[in-house]
Amino acid sequence: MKVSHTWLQTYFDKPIPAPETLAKLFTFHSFEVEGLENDVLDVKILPDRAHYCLSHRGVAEEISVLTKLPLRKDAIKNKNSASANVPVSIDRRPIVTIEDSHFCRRFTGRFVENIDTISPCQSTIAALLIAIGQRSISPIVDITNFVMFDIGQPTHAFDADKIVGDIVIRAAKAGEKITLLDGKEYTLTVDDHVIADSAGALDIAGVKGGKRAEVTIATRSVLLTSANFNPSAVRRTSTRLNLRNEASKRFENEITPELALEGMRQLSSLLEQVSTDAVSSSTILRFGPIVDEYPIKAVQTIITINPSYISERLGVLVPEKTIEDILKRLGIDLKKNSGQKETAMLIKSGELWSLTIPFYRLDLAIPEDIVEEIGRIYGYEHVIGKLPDVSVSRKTVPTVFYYTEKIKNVLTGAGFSEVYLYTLAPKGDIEVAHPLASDKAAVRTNLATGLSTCLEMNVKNAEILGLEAVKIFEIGKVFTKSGSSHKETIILALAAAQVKKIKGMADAGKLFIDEALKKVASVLGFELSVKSLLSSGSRAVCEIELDRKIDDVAEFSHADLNFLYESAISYKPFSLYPFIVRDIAIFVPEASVGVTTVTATANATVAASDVWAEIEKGIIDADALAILVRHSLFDTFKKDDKVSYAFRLIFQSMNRTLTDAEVNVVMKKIYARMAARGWHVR
Amino acid sequence: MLDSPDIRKGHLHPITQTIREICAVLASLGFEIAQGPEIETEFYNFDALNIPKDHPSRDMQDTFWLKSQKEDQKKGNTMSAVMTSASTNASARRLLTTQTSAIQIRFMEEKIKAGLLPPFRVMAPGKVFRNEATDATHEAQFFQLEGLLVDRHVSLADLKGTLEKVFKSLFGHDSEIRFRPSYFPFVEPALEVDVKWGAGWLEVLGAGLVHPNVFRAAGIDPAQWQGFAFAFGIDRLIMLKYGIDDIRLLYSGDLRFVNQF
Repeated sequence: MKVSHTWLQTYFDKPIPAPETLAKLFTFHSFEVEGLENDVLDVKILPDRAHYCLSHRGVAEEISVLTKLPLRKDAIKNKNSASANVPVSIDRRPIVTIEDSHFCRRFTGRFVENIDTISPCQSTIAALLIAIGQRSISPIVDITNFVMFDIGQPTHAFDADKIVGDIVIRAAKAGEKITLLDGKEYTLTVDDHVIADSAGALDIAGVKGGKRAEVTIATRSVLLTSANFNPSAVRRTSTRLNLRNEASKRFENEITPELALEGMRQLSSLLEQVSTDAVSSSTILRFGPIVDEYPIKAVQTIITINPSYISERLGVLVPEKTIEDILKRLGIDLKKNSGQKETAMLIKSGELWSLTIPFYRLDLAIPEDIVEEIGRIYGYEHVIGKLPDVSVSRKTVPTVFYYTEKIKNVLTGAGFSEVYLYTLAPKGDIEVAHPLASDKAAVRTNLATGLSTCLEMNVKNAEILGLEAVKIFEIGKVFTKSGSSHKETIILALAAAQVKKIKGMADAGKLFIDEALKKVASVLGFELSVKSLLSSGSRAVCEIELDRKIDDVAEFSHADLNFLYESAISYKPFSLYPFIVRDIAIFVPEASVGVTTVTATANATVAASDVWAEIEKGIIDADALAILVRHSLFDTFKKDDKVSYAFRLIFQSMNRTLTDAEVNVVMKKIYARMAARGWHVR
Repeated sequence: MLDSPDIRKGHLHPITQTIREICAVLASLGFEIAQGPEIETEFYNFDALNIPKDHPSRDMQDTFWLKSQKEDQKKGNTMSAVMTSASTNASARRLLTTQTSAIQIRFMEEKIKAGLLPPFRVMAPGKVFRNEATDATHEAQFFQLEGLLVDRHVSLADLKGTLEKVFKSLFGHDSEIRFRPSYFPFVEPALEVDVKWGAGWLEVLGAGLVHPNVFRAAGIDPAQWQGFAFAFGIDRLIMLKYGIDDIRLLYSGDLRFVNQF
């Protein structure tokens, strides 16, 4: 939620800290700050603090608690606040019936006449709304929105002259239709609730107002309403109709019904201020009396707690005086030694405190909530870590976990690398109810499909990986239908391919897998039965159901647990751009070796490195060393007194696609170096 | 710079390596391993974790709800019929687990059924799912490692000490962590934990003291037992440790990535 520093300042006489300082305070004591622009802070209010912090008043209270600066306005703490009551000058009053007090906990309403006399110029309120990213619509709508962002109470104004008869808050009828302010028609169910008159629904309660009694430029009198609705019911309706908005958000997070009257009073006094701002300096608006239907009054929560429990759970000794001071700043009334005998059983010994929680702090219900309040306000930095006593040591490891980890070790030993692929797939037995993307419409029924694709991709990159064979495996779950439910199975899948053709190894992939599984069997002491094996030429993919086999054998020594794993890895980003391969073979006279060492037994590697040094010079000439990512000597042969060295060069850039033309330039520079030495390029 | 034609060893994926590293530290503190299903019920994933139905805290995670077999059969039927069948059997509705915390409940329930009372110390690595758009920092699947400790007296100091030990092992002895207030319905107080990283701090896990309602759901008396819980985001730790800027690389199956580990 966006909060304005200027707006927050209206709650204080003394200047509040700068936005940056507030952001820091909030981060360590209240909630995350997701953005800070000019004097507007974007604070992340999670559901626990949403009862009171989806409002400037709530955030101002946090500031007061954290900085000890007193609030200028009364913040309804434990009683109804005394927002100045506007003088009542007409007798017109709405007749309101609440059919279900479980749904509508409170409903306040009043008529206001002469509304068309308000000048549309409402600079202060409109400016504050615009600052927090809202639109300015009309003086009345702006004021209702202002009240919501100011104290967290959604309010609504109806065109009073378009209301027919009395007001009733009732469940919608099946199939009942209403056109809302957005101009769209919605069909309701009996689970929804409406504010209605004798002509039908005027408003979907807690969600959005209807078109029929919309306040327009021609509106002469309004019915102001400020109410409280059941959070779950509002959430169900707003979710089903896809009508989540600022008002429904506050209701579904639950606000205290105590706030409804406060909202009505603030709404009235703001309207009055607007109308007295006119030249005549007297009120032109005529207010009717407030009708307040409040069937079941909210009860303040009382939490009984032993102050030492707070320090115990935080793991740091917070002085009692500090706790008392924080509670006071939170508006929590403290009575000492007033806890009842029954609740005393919860607490080991000592003093009991009875805490009366402000109405709006619906998040505070149990002693642990108080532990959190004291902890965050006192500051978690005071908590000093200590290791828990090692009182327990049941070193149990699930059999399947033990064996899967063991198998991973054997397979990597056999040259197979581990991959993790996606569980979500375009198709499968078990489908996602509302997929966001077509490739995430179901969960996989096998690993082989994904692993085959993965194998092909890695085969394409074999050169740059410097691999002659690609060998990969995944251990993961697959999901199939099983009667009216589903089955989750752990699968080991292996895939292998020989990249460089080798004579007599046409089925190399299958041979690799067989070899690896033999090793697995010898280490595990039992054979894994292959469920499926697909072998085609040099490629093979196979699947094994792990849990079935392991559940049958299942015996291992806990002494054998070897999870300690030392690693000193440094990861380097790799290029996602295509690479270019060039081979170069050079005939050099064997004598050339003798330039420095002069022995007939000069071995080939010396000469090879000599040749490589010269090639490298050519690459440096072309200023291309940065794009040479790999090279290898892949062939050597002698013919008469000459030796041929064949090198493979792989070029790739981190940030662009290389062209053949630019690699050709590099090769030319290399050829030039070769020519200068009198070497022959084949 | 010439390649030697040695016999190549394969590589363990960094997810496996990191899970093992954390498990190694926690095992030295007496934590045992547990695992849970990837298809979970609404009860274990939400209800038992003090995340009530029709509550805004359910929005904190975008969930992959799965079609029920009934829905499959009713394909083509009206929407309201589907809604009714789903709501009558709400807690059995299936989803792809959104958090390893669901394993807390399964673990404690199992122990209690087997007649085993706390103390408990358990760590649970697992794959979890979130139904949200993917980008360099968001994936539809990722790994978490849950930790749960239940004993007579458990405080935030115990939690901090345990986590400090893990981070010192992962990131070195001068590694530091700090707590910030947060909200997770299954812990109270609830915390975000940051680890010092260069000149700044990075958010690496959620943690807190086990909420009494979670104990109740698992059949444990919260007046007798206390606990802490935490959940590492494994992927995030890996990205941090190795300077990886795109989470999707972890699931690419690309050996240019895996073979560096």
